[in-house]
Amino acid sequence: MSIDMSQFYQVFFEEAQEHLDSMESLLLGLDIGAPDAEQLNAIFRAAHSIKGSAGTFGFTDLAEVTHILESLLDRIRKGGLAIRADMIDAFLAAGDVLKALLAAHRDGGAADPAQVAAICQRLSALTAGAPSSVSAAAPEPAVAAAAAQIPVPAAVTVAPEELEASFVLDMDADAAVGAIDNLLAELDRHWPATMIKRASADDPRWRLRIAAGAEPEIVRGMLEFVARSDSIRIGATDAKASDADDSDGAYGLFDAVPPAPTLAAAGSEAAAPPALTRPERRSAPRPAAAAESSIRVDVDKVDQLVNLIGELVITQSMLAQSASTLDPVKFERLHAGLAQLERNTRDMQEAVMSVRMMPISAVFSRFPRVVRDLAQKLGKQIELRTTGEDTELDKGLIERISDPLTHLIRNSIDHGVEIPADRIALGKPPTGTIALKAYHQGGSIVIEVGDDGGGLNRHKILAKARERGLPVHDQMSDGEVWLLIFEPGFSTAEKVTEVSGRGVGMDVVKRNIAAMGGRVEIESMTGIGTRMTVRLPLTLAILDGMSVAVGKETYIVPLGHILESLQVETGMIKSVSGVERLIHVRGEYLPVVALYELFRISGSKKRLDEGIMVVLEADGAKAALFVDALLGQHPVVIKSLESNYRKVPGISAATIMGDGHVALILDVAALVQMAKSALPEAA
Amino acid sequence: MPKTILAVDDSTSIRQMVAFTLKTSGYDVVEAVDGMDGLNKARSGSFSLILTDQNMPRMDGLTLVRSLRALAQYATTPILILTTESSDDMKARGRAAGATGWLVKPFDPQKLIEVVKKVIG
Repeated sequence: MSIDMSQFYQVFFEEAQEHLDSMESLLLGLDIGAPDAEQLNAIFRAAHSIKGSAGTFGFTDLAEVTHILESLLDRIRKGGLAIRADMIDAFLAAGDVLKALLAAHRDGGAADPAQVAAICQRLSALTAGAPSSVSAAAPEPAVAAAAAQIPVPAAVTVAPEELEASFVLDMDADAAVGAIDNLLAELDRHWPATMIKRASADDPRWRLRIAAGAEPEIVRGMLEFVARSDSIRIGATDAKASDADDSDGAYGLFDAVPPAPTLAAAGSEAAAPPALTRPERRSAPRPAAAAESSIRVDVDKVDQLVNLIGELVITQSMLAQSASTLDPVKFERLHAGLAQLERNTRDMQEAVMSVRMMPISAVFSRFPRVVRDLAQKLGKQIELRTTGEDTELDKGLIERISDPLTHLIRNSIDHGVEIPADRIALGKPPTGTIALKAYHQGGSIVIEVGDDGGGLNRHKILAKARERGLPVHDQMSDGEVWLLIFEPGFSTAEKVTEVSGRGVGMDVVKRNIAAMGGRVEIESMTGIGTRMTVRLPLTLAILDGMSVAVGKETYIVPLGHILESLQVETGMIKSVSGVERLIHVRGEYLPVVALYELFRISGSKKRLDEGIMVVLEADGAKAALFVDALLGQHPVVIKSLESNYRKVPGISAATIMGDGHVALILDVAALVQMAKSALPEAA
Repeated sequence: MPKTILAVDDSTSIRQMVAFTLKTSGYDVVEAVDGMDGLNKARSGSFSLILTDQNMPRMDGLTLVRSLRALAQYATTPILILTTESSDDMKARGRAAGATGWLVKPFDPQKLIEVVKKVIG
């Protein structure tokens, strides 16, 4: 029989990628001074798992690198090797190489064998440079750190090999089971220990095997609680004595019939095994854990569900509208049924939308590495604090917010946090902090990137703005000044660093966030720090809109872009070249976009003082949209116009209204742009 | 009625491979993602053979073996440990915990079938 292994490759790739990601975040979270045993174990286990699966599925290069990595990690977690900063660097680099190998296997590309050789050499050098006194004991959790938990005298002997202890209990047979349980639990808290099967249940001598690294004197102390002191014997184990029947093969079986369990033989079936009663170890905060049971579903399937729900919502509101003309008394049951349908539809819509939601930890998890690498490069000390990793937002947004956020963080590291010497001179702690926060507020998700650096410099920004010919004046509020850094090509960095000199400015960040229907705000105080706040809608599939009427047509304006709506008075209208093109609102001249003109709609109001002006903002520019009337505010399901028809300038998408009519959703950014370019230069 | 095997491994790919291989050979397979899950599934089901990985989060293979052997239901059920370590030490520990035998990782499907057939036919 032959099994086609390639059918498992995809699962392996995803699994290995997850292990690599978790290994990276664990490595970054590791405190080199006092590494947490659980974390070291988890890192080891990640490498170990990749090695096991990679070997099974025939990815030998992956298996080779993980093998070296695993053996190093194994020695570290067993306390045979102290972890150093250069090791973390090498492990991270190994992670990068493994990711590249994984990608090469996945996409059918070629991996760079030189890179593999280089990392193997680098890792081996770390192994070679260390003392090689560690025994080849089998893995069992938490040896190193557990040993550090108990107070030990200054000079203590540690058994390099596994220990075997034997003793005779100092009590009745009835009490034996409980005593042995307690002893194993106690021992297990320090070193893994196992009971060796006794020759017969009548044998008074009990035998224990304790993992390498155990301290015989402490073991003796524990045994003395339950055993006769003169009966205790502790020595190196004789592993050969209990050898298996087939020592070299790929598999083997022990005795023909499995031995009766030691404890069960003594009549203690109910006794919980030691490892289960083991008290919780202190562990550092770990990355947000994925749900314990989950299934992987193709995104297309979820999107299809979202679409169908959209249709259902529309059908439901069409039904509701038709039924509203029916006599509520005569059709009472129909109305009740429709009300029920509305509730169910709404619940179902929420439930389906929540499937697309992912915790933002998917994005946040990459930042520890970004901060670490960049801070190292710039000679800064920076601690990244993240809160709200569990905050959920739409998968589509998760993918698109990653780059803008990375840019904001790089900006904070590069321009915000000072170098340690400057910080000390200012009376600040040498290590700067970047605080990354996510939370829900109303129908939005808010992401904050804050630093405790020098803050923005008002004078520098104004000077730079003047140099670039931007219309600025000294009376501008701080808030307005800060927004200038989002202007194209704006950078006040005194020296062009590798980071700031990449040619991608904050304007791109702002544009990308705006394209997601979000916006950025800045708060800053000189000497105290800067905080950038990104607000995004929770989802891309539904939009809060204002419906407006022009003639017989209905259009939807995304609510996020609306600043205010007002009735124009004759005095506010200014003409340019004889055409009414501007309105004067609160000291600002806003270009007017008349929808009836743009879309050639007949039968609409033409006089600007008869209709309504909706003041819009997009990309930092404003415009006034002239419409007949405002109809109402409601969430609309977004339908792509491009995939159903074609792209239309000034329109971003379409939706279906409750009465079954199609309404077009306005592309505010494009409208504002049109308004600006339609104006004569003089304005 | 086909014999049912419990396959315990935290690696999804290995678990799927093991399950697929065993099912192709006519066994029923129940999967568990770690020792704790394995113990729970073993308690609520009935298995002719248990295959378990050693290194797993929450509860490792040796602890699972010890815990299963403490249950009357699994006092004599064959249990095989799948391990990357083939050292004498590992074998001694597997034996002490009460395992029936071991299979060294990485293994190919044929080897798996071979040892399973040898144990439960």
